[in-house]
Amino acid sequence: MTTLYLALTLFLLLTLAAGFWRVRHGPTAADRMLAAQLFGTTSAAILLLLAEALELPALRDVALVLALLAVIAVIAFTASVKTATPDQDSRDDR
Amino acid sequence: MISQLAGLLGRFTLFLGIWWLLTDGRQAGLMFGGGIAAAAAMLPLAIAEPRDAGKPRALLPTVLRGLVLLPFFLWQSLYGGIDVAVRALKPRMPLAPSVFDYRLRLPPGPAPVMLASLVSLMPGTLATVSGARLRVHVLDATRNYQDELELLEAQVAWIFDVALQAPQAPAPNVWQHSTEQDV
Amino acid sequence: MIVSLSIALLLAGVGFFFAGTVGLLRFPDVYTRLHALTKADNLGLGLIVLGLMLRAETGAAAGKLLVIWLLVLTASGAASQLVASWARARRIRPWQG
Repeated sequence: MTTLYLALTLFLLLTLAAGFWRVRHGPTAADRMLAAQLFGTTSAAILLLLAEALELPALRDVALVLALLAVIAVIAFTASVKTATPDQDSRDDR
Repeated sequence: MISQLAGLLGRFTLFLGIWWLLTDGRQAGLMFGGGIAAAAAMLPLAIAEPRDAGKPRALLPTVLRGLVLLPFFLWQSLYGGIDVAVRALKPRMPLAPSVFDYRLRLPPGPAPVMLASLVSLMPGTLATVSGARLRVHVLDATRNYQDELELLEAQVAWIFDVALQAPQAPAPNVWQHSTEQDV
Repeated sequence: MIVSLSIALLLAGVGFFFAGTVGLLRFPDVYTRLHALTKADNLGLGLIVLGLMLRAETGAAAGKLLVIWLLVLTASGAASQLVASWARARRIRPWQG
């Protein structure tokens, strides 16, 4: 069972790493912010699996905190990037 | 007075329950948790907004009614997840997105926000609150979403124990592609 | 029986995470990508939570997993609304085929 948990954790890490392509390429700041959401949910799943695999229940608390911090990051982003020039790429419309 | 006391007790029970779950049901910190839960339960009395004074919102019954409907929402979100996963994984990626406005019958407050969150979990829809409307982005413009939205809105109204009103927002002239008049 | 059900739920959950990331990379604009993330990833987390709940030692531990999921669900629902309205306020136009 532990092997399965660790294999799933590894796979989730790979999907997370793939998601960072979106951070790199945007094109808008909102797209980059999506990666924060991805990070929040995926890392919660990873930590919950690790808590079971390593028999470290405390990791569940870490999962909770990380997931909520990711959302706070989104809130801070939407509240603070109000005045900045729109990072908008009109070519993306077509 | 009675309803205020009941509300206080309900919030306290809810917060203590969450504390109990988050501490893995341990007894050791329960006294501490009880103090925190009591303080949190009393907080709305200290910072009550004047416009809410008419009808204090009961948190515990709202949460319990939400839990009653939870299985339905989860079942729907299973469809939502499968729908979007299939679209993402199909080589041709079947997408025909569109945006329309839904005129809310819910009174302003937390209820429309919860409705938008739920709508975003349902198959093919993503919503934000925009005044007295819900701006809905859909993945498949060929489907009609009106009935689903009305059903969800009625359920949210039941959860929050509020009455549905006639839509406040003026009827839109254009239903589709309303993004042009975006603000 | 419980074990194989739990394994099936975990595998399905990870599968939805994979689909969510594929959507994030392939979908044409920020709104459609939001669809992929809010639905697929939250469902993936939900299935993983269910799979782990089946193996939880105590009822309280299972309840805690459920509370974690519900909190993440609520929070990411709010976050997706914030990102979508931020994008709209920036007049980022939705992709239309």
